[in-house]
Amino acid sequence: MLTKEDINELRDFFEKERVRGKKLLKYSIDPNLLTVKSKFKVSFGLNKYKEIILKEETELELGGRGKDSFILIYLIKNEKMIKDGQITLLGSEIKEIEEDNVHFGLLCLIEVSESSEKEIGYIDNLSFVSNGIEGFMIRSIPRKFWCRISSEVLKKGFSFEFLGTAFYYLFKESYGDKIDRIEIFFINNDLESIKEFLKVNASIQDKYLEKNREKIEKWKKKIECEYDWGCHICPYRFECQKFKEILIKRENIE
Amino acid sequence: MKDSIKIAIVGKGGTGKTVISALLAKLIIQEYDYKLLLIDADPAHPHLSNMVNVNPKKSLESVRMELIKRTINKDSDVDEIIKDIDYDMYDALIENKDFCLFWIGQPEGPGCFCPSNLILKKTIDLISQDFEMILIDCEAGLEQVNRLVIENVDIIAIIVDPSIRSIETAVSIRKNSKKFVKNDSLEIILNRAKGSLDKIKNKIKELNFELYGVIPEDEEISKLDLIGMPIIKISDNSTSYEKIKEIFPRMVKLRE
Repeated sequence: MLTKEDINELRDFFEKERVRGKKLLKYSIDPNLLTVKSKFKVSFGLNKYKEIILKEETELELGGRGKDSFILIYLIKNEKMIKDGQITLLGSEIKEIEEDNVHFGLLCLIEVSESSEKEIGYIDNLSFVSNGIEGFMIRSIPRKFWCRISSEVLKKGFSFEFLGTAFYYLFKESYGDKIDRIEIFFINNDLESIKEFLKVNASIQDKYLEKNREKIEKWKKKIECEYDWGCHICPYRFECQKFKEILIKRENIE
Repeated sequence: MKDSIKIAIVGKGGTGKTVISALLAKLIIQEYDYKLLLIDADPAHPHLSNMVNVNPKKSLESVRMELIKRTINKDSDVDEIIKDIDYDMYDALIENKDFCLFWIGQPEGPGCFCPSNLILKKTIDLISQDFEMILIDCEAGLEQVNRLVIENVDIIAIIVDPSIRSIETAVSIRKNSKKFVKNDSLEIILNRAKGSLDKIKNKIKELNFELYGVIPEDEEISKLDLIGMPIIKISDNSTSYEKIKEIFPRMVKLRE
């Protein structure tokens, strides 16, 4: 659980980038769902869009191969610091993107009650979001965010404002009363900002390093081996060691 | 969040596992609203893939071998490998509007005692979360699948034909599969049924199996096989497809 200071530090990052001259946009999500649905030509609804978006239908990928990306979803307990319904976008809107694959970051701050935090646990499955937005499909990879957006919905005006709004309402519909407030941040197509943000995030997470160390130790024990005669005569010892290095390093990456 | 439903189709070789997997896939696509992932676990040849009319260019095992080669290469950059691992897995994923499919392929090189399997397994587990139903056409048992694919399955259907040998295999599969299945959803589909089935049914009952259902010998399947047509193109009123329509809700209900 993040503290007030942690939240301030994350939020301040965006303000500092604005002061440095980067583009920062803010949107407020209308609390009236009917108004929202009439505002956008693209649609969303829980489990209403389970379509598979094929490569040939895709006009834009966020966080695709070769691009940096992140997704961070933090549950915040009763801090009353979360600006419910606010979307902050660092970078330009989708209509200004010229590439077909961009660097991308997504941060969600979700305020919950103490009992809800235990019930919800860790949110790592976003299939309800992927299946809930027209022309949009998430491709799950660890610790990153990768999605496809179809050319059809881009023509209809698919935007980050829409995406944040859809996220907001889908989370609320999925988790019901367990979620009090949601605030969403995007970083679009700015590798420098993404790297800097991840440094800020890492310094916050270093405080909780002990938990991560336990996770690594658990991973090390999970590596199964059927070669009972001992590592020193195993013909695959070299490959095994190299892989263990990768596994450990991969788990250290945020 | 609702977990994916994982179904494994197992049984003695030649009992018709892959045909039944293809019929189930056809049913799920046509009549149910599940986002579907198929896993073709035949190591030698992508039989399920061909029966559902797709042709995988890459297997998961080939992705794993490429990963191993990169890792042990003296000039390899670990950071670059870590960046690419998860994207590389998707190179082996076949996508169309109705379903996605992975073909596991033939293990080569460092086998079960290699931590590369853990990377693949974790990534497949993650990708599986994007789907509501995962249907796995296995080899006889679940061990090879478990090495790479999914830790726990919800439903296991053991395919038998009217032979005591296939039922004995079912007993052995049940014994070895218990650790992979979350609950007791491990029952039998009697395939290629013809003539009197009393002896077989009594044997099945004697061994404490429940029957999901009986699928009769279907000439239409033989005709499609003869000309190499995908089973997924079978007519909707074929006897085997009609039976699968009755069996599937029973399988899923038992799991609930």
